[in-house]
Amino acid sequence: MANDTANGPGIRLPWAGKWVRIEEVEQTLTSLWSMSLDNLRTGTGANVHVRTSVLNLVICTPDIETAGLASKVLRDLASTHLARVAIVVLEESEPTSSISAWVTLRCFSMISDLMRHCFEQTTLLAKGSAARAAGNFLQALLKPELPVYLWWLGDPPAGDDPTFQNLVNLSNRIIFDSTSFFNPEQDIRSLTELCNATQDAAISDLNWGRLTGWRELVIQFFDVPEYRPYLSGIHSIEIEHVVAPLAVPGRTEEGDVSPNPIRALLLAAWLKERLGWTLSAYRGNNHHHTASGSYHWEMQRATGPRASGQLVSPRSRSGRLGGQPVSITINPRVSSEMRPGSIALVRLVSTADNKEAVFTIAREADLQHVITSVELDQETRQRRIVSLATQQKESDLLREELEITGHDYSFEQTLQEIANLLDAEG
Amino acid sequence: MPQRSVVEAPNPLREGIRIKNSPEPCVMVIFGATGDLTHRKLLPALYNLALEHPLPAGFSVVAFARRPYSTDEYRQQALDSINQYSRQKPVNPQVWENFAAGIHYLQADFNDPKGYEKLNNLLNLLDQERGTGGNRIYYLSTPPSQYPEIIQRLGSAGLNRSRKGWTRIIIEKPFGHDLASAKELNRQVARVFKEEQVYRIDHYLGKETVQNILVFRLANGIFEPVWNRRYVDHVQITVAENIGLEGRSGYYEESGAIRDMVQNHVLQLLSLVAMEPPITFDANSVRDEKVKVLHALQPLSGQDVATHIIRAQYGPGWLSTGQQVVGYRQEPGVSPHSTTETYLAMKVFIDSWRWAGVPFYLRTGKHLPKRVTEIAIQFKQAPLMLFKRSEAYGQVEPNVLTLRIQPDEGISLKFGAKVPGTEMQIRSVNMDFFYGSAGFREQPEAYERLLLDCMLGDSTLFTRRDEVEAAWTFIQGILDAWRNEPPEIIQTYESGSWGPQVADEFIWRDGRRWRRP
Repeated sequence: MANDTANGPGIRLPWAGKWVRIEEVEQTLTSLWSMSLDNLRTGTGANVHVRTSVLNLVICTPDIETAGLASKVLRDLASTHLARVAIVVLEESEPTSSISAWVTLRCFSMISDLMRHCFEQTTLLAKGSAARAAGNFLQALLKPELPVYLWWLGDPPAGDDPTFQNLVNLSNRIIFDSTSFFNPEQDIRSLTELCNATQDAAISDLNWGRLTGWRELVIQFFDVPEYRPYLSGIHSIEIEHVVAPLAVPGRTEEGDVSPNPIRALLLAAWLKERLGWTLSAYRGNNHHHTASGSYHWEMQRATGPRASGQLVSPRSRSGRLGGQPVSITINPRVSSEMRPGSIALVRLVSTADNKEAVFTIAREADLQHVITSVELDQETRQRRIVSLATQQKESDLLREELEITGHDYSFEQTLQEIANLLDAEG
Repeated sequence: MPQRSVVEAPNPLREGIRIKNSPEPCVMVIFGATGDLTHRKLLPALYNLALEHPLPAGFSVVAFARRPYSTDEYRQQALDSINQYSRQKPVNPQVWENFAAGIHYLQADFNDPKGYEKLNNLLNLLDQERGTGGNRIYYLSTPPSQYPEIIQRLGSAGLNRSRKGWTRIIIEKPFGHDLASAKELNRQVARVFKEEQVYRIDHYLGKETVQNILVFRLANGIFEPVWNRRYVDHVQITVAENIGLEGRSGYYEESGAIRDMVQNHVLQLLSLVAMEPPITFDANSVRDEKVKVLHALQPLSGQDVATHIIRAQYGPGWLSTGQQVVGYRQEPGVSPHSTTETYLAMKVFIDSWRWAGVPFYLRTGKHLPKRVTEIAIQFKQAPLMLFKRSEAYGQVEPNVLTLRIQPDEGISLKFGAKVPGTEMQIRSVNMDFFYGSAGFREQPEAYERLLLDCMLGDSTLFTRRDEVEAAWTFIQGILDAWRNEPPEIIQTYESGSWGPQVADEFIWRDGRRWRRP
């Protein structure tokens, strides 16, 4: 049985608000609302607080410092109409068990100081065995009948981890950020396993959101009718991802893991899946080098009609091109200017009707833009500079995830493909 | 699904993607490219689309106008306008460089056939150099009097069809100044373009909250059952402006509030609120239902006009912005004897099973206390008031559902609640939903949404020919009555007030009052 620290936990968390006994959370929140409304009541008695409720957000962190950083991110999320946020610090390895709670009402001006959007924030510090019961504590704190989004900060836990399972059972969507995974290959496999094991809740990854702009630019090449035939003629995909200039793999001074090829793997896997490519039976030419973050796979194009939405080369139906070898290569690009894991280059080489076309999206020194170009018969046809920053605000990525209610099947299929790629070692 | 003119299979990479559709490369030819609309709205909207990259590589603009500028000079003007009016500023130099490379200025008179020859050559060149694939959008951003000339010249030059790709035309409001001119314009357009090529733009329909009217009504199960004469006492639609003529006296003297606001914006809002659910959510099904509402409007003519409509002109006064202003007749360019209305309040009925007997009060005006557009659905009182009048009755107001279009976009529901305490005291409270966009997340401007829809071939938010004519048919009855019995004097209201006293009396006679938005 966990102890609810009767006289306070002995630590102060100014960002978390007022320390309360856990059974007093609701009552304290009511009183905070009341005080806040009194402060804001205008001369005419109009209520100018905006309190629309769309979702519960649960944030799980391994330590208090990370919890404080997550709390800062919430400042930019007020517009998503969060109803209640619970930040749960899980310190399972602590020898003594206890549960402590803090509450605060966070209000942000919307149109003027007189019109503010508010959400309730509860912070739980669960130590020892109390951490394993975090799901139980949360049950009582969530707004009823609103979806629960769980943002898990850190590496993915084992699928059978009871603490995590407890939290999964009450969640509709579980959000990770694979850019911070310490063992990228192993952790992305764990995420795939978790995805397979978790049918009711959707799994998502902020790193997938970081790729949205890149995927959009790839797609846009083939929105042009003139270039559409080259889509099924792609035979070579090259992706570069940034690695830090470290002597040995590990964390940079900023705390980033390098190499972290997950974004490159996601992009490669998505393209493989969309193009309907299959791994070649002979795997001798495949290689991957975890320490440097380089990979190469040889594959084949589909040779017959595919399921809807996938591609078959027009000529492959005749059998002439069926089984033609195609390849995906991921290379590291050493740079101290960009964050490790960022995509630096995507190049698709295609042949259709005996003409070669090269579709490139490249980032050079400019961290805010990329250059897209199409070369047809060795002549650059279209070159444009597109706004695509290397870094996106975490709050923007999180907001996008909070707007999605169901499964993102495209992401889930991509995860499966990553597992297939990683299994296909030479 | 949106109507698409392109029949080929969709890009398979798009399947399952969260990203919005990206149009095919195309050229937008803007006629009247040196005008105010182009600089304030169109160029900033196109730049924002380029910045947020739904615009495809190769997208190009041909600025067609009479003034003698070079392409470089025009690009500089466009840059200045975007820096001044874009919601995303300052301009991002790299994106601008890219966007500017696609802008070309073509100097020609609208009635000069050589200008259209040059245009044809330039479009063909852009197809080759920028891969625009024969896809063209013509945007008529000129005074309406130029529309017929431009349309006819486009047809004569064979620019109304593409051998490859698609051709569309966007026509800015006003679509005519009365029923006859609207029909004539439609005939002229139809001689050159097929109806599916024509996109009549009313930027109100591009606003998020206007689109949300349909979502609110048709995606929720609880509102539609009470959305009818059994439960609704009346509906008030307010489109208020706190500005005056803004230098448009010539236009406004001819149009007045009825043409400037009622014929388009107000009737669009009315038809979205009152329409029946469409059978599918495609462009024509939605517009079919909107047209039915316009056809079902009880015509106003003759004496009805006097009893159902209040018109007035603003006099001098102080605006809520702290500015002292002159009256309408003292404005530069306005006749001192003008009877043009700057305020209009009217009561209309829709002859349908859903709305028979329910009054729709429509109100619009200039120099009112604030800029606000809202639709308020006031429900009937509870059939039996159980609470003592002294404690509750006087304080319980009817339930009102308010759809706020601008500003403070959102939805409010007013209902009665018990005041905590030992007494049975009841007061009305508002339950508010505000769009998160208010102050946090920037939503695209209406023009961005509409230009992108046109590039994608989705005409849901554009006005169809029969819709325009049905709206004018209703308005024409009023115009005829006014013409037959011109007012000897026109009511005035103090600038900065909510309109003339007679407008208040007009609604009081029905036992109702105007809302204070």
